[in-house]
Amino acid sequence: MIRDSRQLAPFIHTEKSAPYIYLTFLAALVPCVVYGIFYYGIRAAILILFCMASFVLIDNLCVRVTGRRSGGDYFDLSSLVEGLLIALMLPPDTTLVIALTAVLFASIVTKQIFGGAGSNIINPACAGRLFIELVWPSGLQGFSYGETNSKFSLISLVVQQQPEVSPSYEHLSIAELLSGNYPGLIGTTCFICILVGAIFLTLKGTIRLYSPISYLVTISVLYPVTMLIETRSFSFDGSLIYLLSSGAFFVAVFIMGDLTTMPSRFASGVFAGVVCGILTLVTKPFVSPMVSLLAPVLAVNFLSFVLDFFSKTLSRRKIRSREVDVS
Amino acid sequence: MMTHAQLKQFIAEAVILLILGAVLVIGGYFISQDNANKRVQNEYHARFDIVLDSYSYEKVKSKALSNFPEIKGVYIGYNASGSPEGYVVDLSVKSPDNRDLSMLVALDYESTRIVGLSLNPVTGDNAYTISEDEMNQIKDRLIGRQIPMAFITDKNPDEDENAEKITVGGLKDGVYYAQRLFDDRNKYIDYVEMEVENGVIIKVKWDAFCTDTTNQDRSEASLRGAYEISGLDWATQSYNLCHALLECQDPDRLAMKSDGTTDIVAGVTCDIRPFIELSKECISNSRAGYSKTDYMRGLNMMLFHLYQDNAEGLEYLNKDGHIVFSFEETPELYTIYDDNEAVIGYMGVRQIESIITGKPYTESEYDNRQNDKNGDVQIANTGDYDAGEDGLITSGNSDDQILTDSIDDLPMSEIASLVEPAPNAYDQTRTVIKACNICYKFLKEYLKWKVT
Repeated sequence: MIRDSRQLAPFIHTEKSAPYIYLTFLAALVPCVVYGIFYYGIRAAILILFCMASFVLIDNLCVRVTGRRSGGDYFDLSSLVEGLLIALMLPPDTTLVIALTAVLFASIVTKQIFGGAGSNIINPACAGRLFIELVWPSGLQGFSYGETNSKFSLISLVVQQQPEVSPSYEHLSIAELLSGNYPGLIGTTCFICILVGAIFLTLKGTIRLYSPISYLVTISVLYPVTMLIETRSFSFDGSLIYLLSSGAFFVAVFIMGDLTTMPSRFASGVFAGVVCGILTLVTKPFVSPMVSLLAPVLAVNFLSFVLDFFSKTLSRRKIRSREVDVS
Repeated sequence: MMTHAQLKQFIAEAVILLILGAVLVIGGYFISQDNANKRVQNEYHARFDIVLDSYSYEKVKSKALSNFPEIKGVYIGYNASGSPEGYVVDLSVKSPDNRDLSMLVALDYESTRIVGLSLNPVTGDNAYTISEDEMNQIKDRLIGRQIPMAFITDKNPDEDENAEKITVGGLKDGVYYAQRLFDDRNKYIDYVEMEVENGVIIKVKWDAFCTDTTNQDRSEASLRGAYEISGLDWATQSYNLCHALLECQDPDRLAMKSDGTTDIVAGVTCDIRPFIELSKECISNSRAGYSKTDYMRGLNMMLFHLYQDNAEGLEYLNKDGHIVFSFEETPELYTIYDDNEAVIGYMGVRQIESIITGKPYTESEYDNRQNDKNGDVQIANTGDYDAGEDGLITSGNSDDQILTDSIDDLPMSEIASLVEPAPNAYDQTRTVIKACNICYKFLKEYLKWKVT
């Protein structure tokens, strides 16, 4: 492999190149794409392709307009990954206009303004999805499923459909929760597919597991406490259901595992994961599920550089930073 | 940069992940689908058992639903053998005071009779509430009835002193008949046959036979395309008009205009003058106890008066027993002239018979009242001389003249059941009926019913 350190964010100390990392992410997301298209049909496929294509197009336009193109020594695959992540976090009955809004915000505001691929402070896909959740909440309620779900219907891509009432996840069986056979976002509900992607990324060494693991552990442990406060009943039953049905597992693997925007050191990564988990549980009763999942991640994105700095300078022992890939 | 070997490796890994993902997703789907179906069915049972206790339910997917924003969902209930048992419609309708009533209506699959009604849990500040007692009374009145429905009088019962107001009064039970004494330009002679039971008109038939006996009756000819008029075919228009008369019980309430048409009966564009005149004659005959048999005898008497033979002898009887003869060549027999020799009306057979036989012609008490109101004692059977405004209902207190030609945008001719409102719950019953009628309109569109 030819090393090209110019293609990596300055604080990523890994031998993997940017295309390698992004291709790995794309491959890891393939099972989630299969899930989305299998359950939601053509409209899911179109949403995925539309988000990826529009993200690439907008990124390239911005690069050309700003004259920042570096000679085209490699194709920027980050646009494809971010477009795909946005699409997978959309409800199946989302209009193309809303999807485009998310892509525009993610590409221009959170990525290109900060210098393009590898220079962004926050996760563009996460920010784009959160943006439309805040400005267009009614447009993100299209969870048609089962008998109301037509795999060949395209009308929801153009016309906003009537909001569907989400079912109570408490009645879902474990088989449904694991396979994602219930109404949800295009790519975040199938636990098995996300797990396969997570294993693939780990094997490839393109994910830092500090934050995702600490995040999931924090939620698992503290969820019963929040339930005790809310419902006066202490039980771990809800933790598993929440982790599997809320999209937290998807966020943990594909958003918090991001090498660019999450802290790179062990201590700061764990700290970020714990903070994220706590913020998610604290905000969960007050805001929509996606906001409670994504807003804490963005908050930690902003702090990741500072966390890394403190982690490095305040420690007397010289902790060797744990990189994902130690080869 | 990546080498070709690495790229190939990635493609291979992506394909493996694709296959693995597909296997997991499809496998997971089939493993969990049974649970998912059970869960969905359990939810349906929890909601719908109260109105339609079926073995399983299936949600209806239809483009027709987009035209009915009130309907949240329509489900078909199946029995254990998989045969459909009925529909469950989940809908929300506006009450008269513009509040929301959310409820379930269950309908029999074959007859579309109501088999269950249930209110959904009240949500929101603008929810319309019906007490359990009121709902039970409404159920007693509506369950088992066929949709669409209307009140027997679509007025508040507090304002409705008695049900007799909607009848013309003075009718004697029996079968009554009247036919025009001259044919029209198509050689058809109109006739109306009316059956009265308990003082209420329960059956009306308007048709016409042709003086050319080789031709079919007008309704049959119209259905076969041999007799064409603008709008719906004549048979359908005749049916709708007869239905409207059954509803309102009084030909005057059909608001015939000076050109012989009416605006208040949906789908009727033809000249209804013969119907109005003959219906009035039937009503007059009913009040006088002048039955169909008497009428035929009167007609025979007219023929005998002119030709010294009866219809049978003159071979004017058709297979249906009608006397197929036009008296157009002897208009002096039935025409009423004013002092200037201008035609002002026509006499009925009963009146002509009394003239021929020399017996005094007596009007019934009700006919006298009507004639006093019209200012014309002589003419009892013509609709031409109503003094009211064109196209409006004339007689009586204006408050009593409310004739709803439609209810919930359904023509009265389509109404299958007339029900009485629950005591002290008029608005509540009306709102539930509205919900039932929305179900009918949906099913009509969904099943592409042709209403004739």
